[in-house]
Amino acid sequence: MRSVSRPATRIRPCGIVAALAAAAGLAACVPAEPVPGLFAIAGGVVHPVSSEPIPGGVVVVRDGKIEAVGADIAVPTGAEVIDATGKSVIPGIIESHSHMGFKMLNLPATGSNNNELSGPINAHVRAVDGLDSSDPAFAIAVAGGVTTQNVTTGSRSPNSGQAVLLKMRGGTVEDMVFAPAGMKFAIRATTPYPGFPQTEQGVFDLLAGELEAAQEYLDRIAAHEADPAASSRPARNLTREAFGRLLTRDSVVGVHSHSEAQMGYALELKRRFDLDLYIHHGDRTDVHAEEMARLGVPVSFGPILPFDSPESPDLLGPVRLAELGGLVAFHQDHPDGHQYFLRHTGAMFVRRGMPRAEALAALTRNGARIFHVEDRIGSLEPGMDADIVLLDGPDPLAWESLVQRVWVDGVEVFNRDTGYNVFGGRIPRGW
Amino acid sequence: MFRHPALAIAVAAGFAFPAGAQTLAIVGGEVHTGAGEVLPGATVLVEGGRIAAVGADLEVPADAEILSAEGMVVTPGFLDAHTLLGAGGGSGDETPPALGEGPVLPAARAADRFQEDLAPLWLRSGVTAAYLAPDPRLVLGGTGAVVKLAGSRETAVVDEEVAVAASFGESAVGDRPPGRDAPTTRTTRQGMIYELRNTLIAAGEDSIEGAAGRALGRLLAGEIPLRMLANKPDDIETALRVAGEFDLRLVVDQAAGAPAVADRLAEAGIPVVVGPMVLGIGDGGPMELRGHTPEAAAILHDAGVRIALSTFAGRGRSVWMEAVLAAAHGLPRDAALAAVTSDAADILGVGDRLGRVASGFDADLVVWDGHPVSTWTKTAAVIVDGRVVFRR
Repeated sequence: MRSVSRPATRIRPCGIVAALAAAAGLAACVPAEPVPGLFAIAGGVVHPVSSEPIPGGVVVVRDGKIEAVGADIAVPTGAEVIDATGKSVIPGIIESHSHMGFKMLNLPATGSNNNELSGPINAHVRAVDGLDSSDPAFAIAVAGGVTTQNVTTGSRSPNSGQAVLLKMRGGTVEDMVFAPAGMKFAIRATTPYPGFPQTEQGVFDLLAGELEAAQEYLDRIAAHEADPAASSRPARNLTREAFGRLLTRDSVVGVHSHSEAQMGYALELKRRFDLDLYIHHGDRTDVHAEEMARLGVPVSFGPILPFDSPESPDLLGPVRLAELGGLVAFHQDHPDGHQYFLRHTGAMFVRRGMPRAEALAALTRNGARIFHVEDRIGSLEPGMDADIVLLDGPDPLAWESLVQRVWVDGVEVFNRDTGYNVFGGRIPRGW
Repeated sequence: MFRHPALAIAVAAGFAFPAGAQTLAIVGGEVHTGAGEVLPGATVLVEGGRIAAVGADLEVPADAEILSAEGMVVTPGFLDAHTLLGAGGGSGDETPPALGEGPVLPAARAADRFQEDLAPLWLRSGVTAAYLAPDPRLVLGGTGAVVKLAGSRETAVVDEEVAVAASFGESAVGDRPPGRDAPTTRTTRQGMIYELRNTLIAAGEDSIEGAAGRALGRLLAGEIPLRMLANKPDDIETALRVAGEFDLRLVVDQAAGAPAVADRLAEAGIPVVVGPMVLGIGDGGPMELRGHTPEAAAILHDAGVRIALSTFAGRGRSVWMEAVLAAAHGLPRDAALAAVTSDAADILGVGDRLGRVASGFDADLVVWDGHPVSTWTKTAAVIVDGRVVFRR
């Protein structure tokens, strides 16, 4: 790392513990044997996201979980203390829409596993089965403070399959799998493949038809189970099962839609089938904000930082939706935008009127809420997974603040000072 | 991402274009000249579209329109040193650029394809001028121009021919999905360089006619530089080799791999237009640029290479973002400001008119609500040719 790196901040435990103990009115420092898996990040501005920022806060991590968060908490004996004075501490950033491991940085953009095009309906296809963990972009993601991402296929087919949440733990796909991330639809008519609908109306009709067929499938199973003698159980059908999980709201579905009309079709799916549905991209959230807030349809908005000017009117859509109480998350749609810059998108919206706390939530907790994992990740609270980002400045949204250290499940995955990256030497020096 | 040109035009139509007073006085701001000087509490006097005087104790004419910049910062308008506003499409755009008939198209002038309707959002972010590159997918794509992002088509063109533009490596090979490949028959690096070398030899023997021959003649005479888009370190060195063979002035564009050869570039005095950090790297983006890192600008600056920043965009992202990111990753703020003002203007060949707040320069100015190289700073007013074209 070059001169921009700040000095290492690992302080001898005793010194900082003494200082903290004095501040907390506790007794003097007692040297203790370090306890593996136990550390405290102390002295910085802690942004729990689920509550107000805590200046001079302490986050205690034990065995991969957050044990305590607050201003006046004792650092446990044996904890390594990481000095965060003048810095900020935020939850790990959640990328709500990515193709990492499908559209590879180390391979040509074509010829990837990103789109199964043997037919327009691919609900039975699971992203986790085709992922490639050797994508160098994973290393850039953690350098940007991303600890979890929704990896999805598509969007060339109306229904590209099932997405997956990965934690940036390093290792193989199996090492990184965190939770299912639901289904993906795409309302678009620019897919000239045999058997694919050629209009957006056609895409909508196809998806609606699949949902109706899945309802019938569920009804037949229910009828059989109610009276096994009266009808036979339908043969297992992975496509119908997957659509069925949408109807029973056991699975979320993200709908790729950019234009006002495409978003209109997505909202019509929500109204007609009462799905647990969010929109991704959502360029014209400005037009649909009221209806999205009314229906409870979140947006995963982006990609933002390759395309948007800081003056773009499109940025006002998420600002408005958040104002109305709607749920907004951001994404960079790797490889359309680098995940390194996902955090930077927050400032783009704050500059256009979004409260800072809301923008930080859109980078962390709101993504977790879309995928219903907010009891595990997205905020700094006791009991949550210790996915934590330490930034070297007091303002976590300022571009001037750089990600300094990152932990996933309490394990360090990135350290700007030492140059450590859990994904190893997969990227050029400098990220 | 799908975008809406109609919206951009509507924003443009909403701009306030007050009937410009003959004299404009921007009073009380902290003037950053773009060339390293900072003048606190200074006045910038503008007459006839040009800067008449800059200083702390200037007498303001009674009939001057006053624009207060108290508590604000005044800089030259930003220049984006590499855009596709003249390439017939944008990076990450759904519309492929208009294609030429072969890999060498030195008669194509980016100035003729200036898409001024895409300019308003850049203007609001403090960018008042841009280099328009010709089609970046051709070995020799034509000539590049420098234009202002406001004014009439006639006044907007600052210089319609500031460079001959070449592309090398994967950018010209066309690392793209089917249907978007570059129309080149030379698919290897050595094939491209043969094409370039052969064209330069022909031009030197006066066997290329018309506008192409004239542009190449100016290049061989050293009047305008060769802007060569090259990303890998070896490709950058090949650019140096060819430039040396023909005694050309050289500017390296994008140059993701430049940090690896920074000392050589510094020694040869070759400027670099640093490729964008904020880049669409999906289908259509040059793979090689993925080797680019946010620290490249700082590394080159530290090595003594003169740099300008750029977006390589036909829409969207602003070079203001590049300046803030470069500074966040180690480029001194003054150097970042120079890389989008004075140094950019010099590298673009328009340093006698643009890029500085100084007497005699074009009155292309931005009033900011803080230091412009900062996440939270916004433009308060943008002035082009002495006219206030945007007020927040």
